[in-house]
Amino acid sequence: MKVMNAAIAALAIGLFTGSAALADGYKNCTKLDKASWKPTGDAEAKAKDAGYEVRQTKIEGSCYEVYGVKEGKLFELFYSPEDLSLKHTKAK
Amino acid sequence: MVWDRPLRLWHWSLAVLVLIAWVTPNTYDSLHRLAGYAVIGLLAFRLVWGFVGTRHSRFDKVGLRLRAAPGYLKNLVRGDTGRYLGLNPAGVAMLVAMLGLLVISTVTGAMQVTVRFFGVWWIEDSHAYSSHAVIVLAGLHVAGTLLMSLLQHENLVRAMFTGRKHPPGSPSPRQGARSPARVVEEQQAEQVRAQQRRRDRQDEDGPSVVPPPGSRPAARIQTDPVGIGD
Repeated sequence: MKVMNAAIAALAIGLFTGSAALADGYKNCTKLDKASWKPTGDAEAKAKDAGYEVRQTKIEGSCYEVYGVKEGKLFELFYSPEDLSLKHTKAK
Repeated sequence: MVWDRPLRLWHWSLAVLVLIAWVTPNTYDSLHRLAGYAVIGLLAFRLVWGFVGTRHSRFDKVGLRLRAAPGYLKNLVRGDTGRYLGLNPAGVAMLVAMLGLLVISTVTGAMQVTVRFFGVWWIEDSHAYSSHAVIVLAGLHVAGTLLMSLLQHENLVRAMFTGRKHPPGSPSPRQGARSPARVVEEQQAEQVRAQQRRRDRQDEDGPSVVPPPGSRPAARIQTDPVGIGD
C-alpha cells in the first residue's frame, strides 16, 4: 500500500502544481520591491475615478488586480503597484 | 450490457469537458465557460438518467453501497475486491463525491460571471477548491479503475467503451493456464458463490433489501470472502 500512497501523493502534487502553472493570467506589472509598492487602496481609488464599482482587489504576480463592474459589465483591471498605471484590462 | 450507451457517452464527454475546463481558466476564458455550461447540462442529464436509465445507471442502490463503502475499502486493503457488475461501493462513493463537487464547481463558476457575485471572494474560493478537488478525484478514479482492472483481470477502461463486463462468477478471459490447485480453488469459490446466490435470492424474497435499523449494512460484504453477486 505504501507504493499506492506514494503514487497518489505524487499525482495530487503534480496536478496542483500543473494547474497552478496553467493558471497563467496577466501578472507582470513591475520589478519594484514589494516593500515600496503603493497601497492597494490607491489602485481601487483610481478604478473608482474611472467609473468602476470596485468589488475586490487581489495581488496577481506583481500586479494589483481590481475587480470592477461598469455599466453591468465585468472587468479585471491590472494596475502597476509602482506608479498605478493601468497595464491591462480584461473583460470577463 | 452493464453500462448503457447514453451513460458511456455521458462519461466520456464529461471526462473531456473536465479536462478542457482544467487547462483553460484565465487563458481561454470563453472556452472555459462553455465547458462549464456543458458540464451543467451533463449533470442535469445524469440526474434524470439516475432515475430512468438502465439498471446500472440508476441511483437506487447508491445509499446502500455508500454505507458499505468504508467496510469495502477496509477489505480492499487486505486484497479482497469483492465482485460487482455495476459500481463497487468505492466507485459509488467516488460517483457521489464527484457529482457533488462538480455541482459546486459549476454553479459557483457560473455565479462568478454574474454582476451580483463577481469578485465575491468566497464564491471564487469555492470554485477554485472544488475544481481542484474534482481533478484530484479524477486522478484517484483513474488509479482506482486501473488497480481494480489488475486485481480482477478485467479491462474496465474497455468496459466503459463497449459497455460489457463479465458477470461475477464467470472465469475472466485472461487467467491463462490454470494449475490443478487453482482449478480446485475455483471450484470451491464457485460453490461458495452458488450458496451466496441462493442467499441473495432469499434476501430478495424478503420485504426489503434495506437492512433493518440497528443491523450493520456492510456486514455481509465485510464477512463475505468472494463478494456478493451483484
